Amino acid sequence: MPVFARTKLVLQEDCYREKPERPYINYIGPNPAKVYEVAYQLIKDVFNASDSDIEEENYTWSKSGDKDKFKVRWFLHKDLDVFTYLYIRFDVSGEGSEKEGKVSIVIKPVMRTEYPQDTLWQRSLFYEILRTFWHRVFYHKKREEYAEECRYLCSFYQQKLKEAFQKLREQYG
Amino acid sequence: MGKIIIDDDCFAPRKFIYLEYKGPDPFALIKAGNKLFRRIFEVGSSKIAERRFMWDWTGDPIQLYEHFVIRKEVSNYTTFYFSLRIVGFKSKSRNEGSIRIEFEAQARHQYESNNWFMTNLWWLYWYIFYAKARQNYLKLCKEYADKLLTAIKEMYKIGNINPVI
Repeated sequence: MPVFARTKLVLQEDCYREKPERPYINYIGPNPAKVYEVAYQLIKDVFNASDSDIEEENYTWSKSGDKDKFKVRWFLHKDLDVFTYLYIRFDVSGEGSEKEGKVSIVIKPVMRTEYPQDTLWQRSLFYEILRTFWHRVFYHKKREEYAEECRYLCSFYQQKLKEAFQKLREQYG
Repeated sequence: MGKIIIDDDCFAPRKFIYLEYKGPDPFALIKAGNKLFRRIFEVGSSKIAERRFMWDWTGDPIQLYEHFVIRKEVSNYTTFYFSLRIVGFKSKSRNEGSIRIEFEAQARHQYESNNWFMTNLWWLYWYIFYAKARQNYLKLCKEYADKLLTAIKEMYKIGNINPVI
């Protein structure tokens, strides 16, 4: 959850810093609408997130005959500590019938650290010096660990998705 | 009277959530309307306002614009406001078309007093006790919003994750 403050300092970093490309996963097979449910459940399982941590920002679904076409965007807010959270965007789009179709999933993993700057004390120069010192000396390493965890969770998610795709093919194929 | 108002977006950091549907019976939500909102938000009809209702039958497709606001009081200081702006099109000959919903959820914390001492006391109460309650209310607000979105998806029989029991 974002820090409760009207004014805040936000540090945002891509989890894949050196190679900021988006992990892109494609599925071609039966029952693409089922992938929508599977992808969501996996987010909850892999990232250990509750329903309130995941937000469905955009949801488009069209039906014509037995074919479904959908495009969904989820945002995951995964708290790591008081200041830092993972902010991961999942774009899921697909189309097809129960017999055949395709789905693509794009993941954009980002890590955010927010420092509140609401009160007079938080805006003072002395506080800023202390905060910068603490951030450089202690928190920087912690953030590196969080970024590593973020990358690991994303890879794990991709791996689990592939397994789920295989199961879907076996079940409905 | 002195007033302190703090508005929290329940979908923070975003303000709106969008839901779009194309297919048969796009206006099912309008038909369900009040009944559905009463059940989901556990409020009476007086808490549901239809701010704007525009329905154009003259052309083809039929066009619709509706703005619902639902008010849900959860404590003496906190009230939820759910706003749904709905735009829809439906073919006259076939019962098919599209609907787009812009959904906004807000938690409003409000305190009114003329007494400066009481106001300061309230701020203290706010910082010490109410900040935690505020976070829980935000979660509750989001839960209500999710419940409605799920019910809408169930109604249209489209991809749904958390069926309403």
